Amino acid sequence: MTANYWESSQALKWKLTKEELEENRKEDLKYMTEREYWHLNYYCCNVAFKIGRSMQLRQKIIATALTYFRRFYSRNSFRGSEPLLVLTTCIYVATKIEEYPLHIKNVVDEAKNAVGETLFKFDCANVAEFEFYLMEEMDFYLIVHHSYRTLVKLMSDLKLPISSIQQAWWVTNDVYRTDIPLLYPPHIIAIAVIFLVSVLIPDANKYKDKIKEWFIGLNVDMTEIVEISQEIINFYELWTDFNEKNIYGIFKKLRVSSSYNDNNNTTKAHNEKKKK
Amino acid sequence: MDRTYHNKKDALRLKIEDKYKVQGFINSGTYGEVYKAHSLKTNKEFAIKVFKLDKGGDYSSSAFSQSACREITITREINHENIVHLEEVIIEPKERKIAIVFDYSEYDLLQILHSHGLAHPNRIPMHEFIMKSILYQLLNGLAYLHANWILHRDLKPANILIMKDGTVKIGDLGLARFFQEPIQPLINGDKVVVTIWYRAPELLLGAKHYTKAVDMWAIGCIFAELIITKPLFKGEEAKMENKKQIPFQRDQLKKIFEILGVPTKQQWNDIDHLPESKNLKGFGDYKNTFESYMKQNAPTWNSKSGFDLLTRMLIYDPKRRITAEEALDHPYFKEEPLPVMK
Ligand SMILES: Nc1ncnc2c1ncn2[C@@H]1O[C@H](COP(=O)(O)OP(=O)(O)OP(=O)(O)O)[C@@H](O)[C@H]1O
Repeated sequence: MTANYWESSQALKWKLTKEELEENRKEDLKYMTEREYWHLNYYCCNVAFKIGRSMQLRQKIIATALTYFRRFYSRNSFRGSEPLLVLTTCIYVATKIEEYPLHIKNVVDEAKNAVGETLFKFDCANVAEFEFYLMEEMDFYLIVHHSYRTLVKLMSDLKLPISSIQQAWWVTNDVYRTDIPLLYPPHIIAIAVIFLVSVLIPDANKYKDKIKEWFIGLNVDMTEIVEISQEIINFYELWTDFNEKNIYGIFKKLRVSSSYNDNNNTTKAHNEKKKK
Repeated sequence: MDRTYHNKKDALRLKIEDKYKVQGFINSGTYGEVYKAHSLKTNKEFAIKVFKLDKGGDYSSSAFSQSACREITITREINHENIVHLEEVIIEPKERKIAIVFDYSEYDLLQILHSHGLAHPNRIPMHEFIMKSILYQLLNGLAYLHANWILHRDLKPANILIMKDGTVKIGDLGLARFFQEPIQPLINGDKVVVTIWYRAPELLLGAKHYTKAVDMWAIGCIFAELIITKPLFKGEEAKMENKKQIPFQRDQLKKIFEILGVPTKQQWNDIDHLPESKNLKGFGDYKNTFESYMKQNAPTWNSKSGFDLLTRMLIYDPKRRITAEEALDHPYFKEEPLPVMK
């Protein structure tokens, strides 16, 4: 990666604001609740992680793919697009950019396996075509910086127990299910993850002073760290009642509503709101 | 399939001819054809590289080759005066067309060398000032790439572009790669192999990984070529006979040894560890004749510090070879004539 994050396209072209993201989300929220919106997103992320596992892809490839995915949906809505086609294409492009090129057919087959044929109706030609659209939507900026490297380095500097390194790694994977990577620099995310995990360490007292000292020494803006931690906690809250079984219902909503005309949709969404 | 998104994007997209007037064909490379064009809006000149498709009409294969992806992502990411500037990428999904728009360069170094060398039976030496300025800018661009963890891997005169105002830019980043992870030799995954004349001895001897030193060797070869206006090590490439076995490039090594001598263990400590080092026995007992070779081929060139820099670029041991950063700091660039950036 370009050595300097601050000169990277991620910092200069793809650092977004919460306001932008919320504005763009409005379209989808006409047709589904915020919870459903995120559950649909989590489902897609699960598919990505599943494909990653079965194809033995490095975590970084999936992280890059999910960054593309969140970038895509920072400017578009689930409705009117095909989330699983977008996702599969993100993974395919990420393998190339991360220099682990695979045949398009392998990726499509794996996606079909992970999703099942009921929901996954795409073939190689669809992905090869969509690659153009994805590249264009990314504005051809495809290099992504991640927080894993910083995380591992900082954790080993701090000499925290192995169990919390493992935990921090998992939390970092989960961060890619959220908008956090679009909003904050990777090293800040790494620090926030350590902050969160250090609170969770079983014998935290032993490390308390050390961690406190360390944070003071870092000289980072703590409000950002707290903000990120809060968002990660929000994620775990939304995640508690996530159930893959409900996904069909959400997909159906997406489809049904897009075949109606706009007018119809608004009333439908309106009714739903009332029901709540 | 829901094509709302596709349709929305298709309606908004501009084609090449909506933005540029194509004036003519420039050249074709391994991956694409390059056209000269000017912007309809600003009249500025551009070079548009249109990628050939991997497999003609096969709609189920990707149109973005690994090399197109590298060239796009790397040139898009970086911003440096001595590296070719990518203006924009234009796609036409229906035609499966990818076009990269670059700033137009008036010449490439190959043409310039040609006008000094082959085109003239007696060879016209290049002015020290021009030569030094070209080398300095090349190193400046390469130092930037290396500082950003990017290896070029295919430096050669044809890939060095010279703009109208004299600025030198490194082009063709189709083989460039980030090198945080070990990089396998090109021959494995990639179809294309770097031009053999500029290939570093460690690669010729089967080294598994690319390093910055590989790019520096190529720069050394190019520097020598600027001085003698012909390629320094013009070996005959051994072609791949079967897909599994990578041929040993005997002739290229011979060309290097004839001038620089056969490398000794003292010069290059790790030499015995290279996969092909057993083949070294088959070479005669060449001595280093570099200084007299240069005198003979460039009788009017007598820069002592220039020759010192050149030998440091062509040190056998990649660990001891000069880096781009160090080279920029070499006395050669601090004595008259001083190099300029344009
Ligand atoms: N910016 C430019 N301005 C003018 N001409 C250019 C420009 N870029 C490339 N060219 C011309 O097009 C030729 C091919 O371009 P390039 O080297 O990028 O393609 P390639 O397919 O990667 O070729 P190669 O076989 O050298 O790897 C160059 O040798 C040069 O003559």
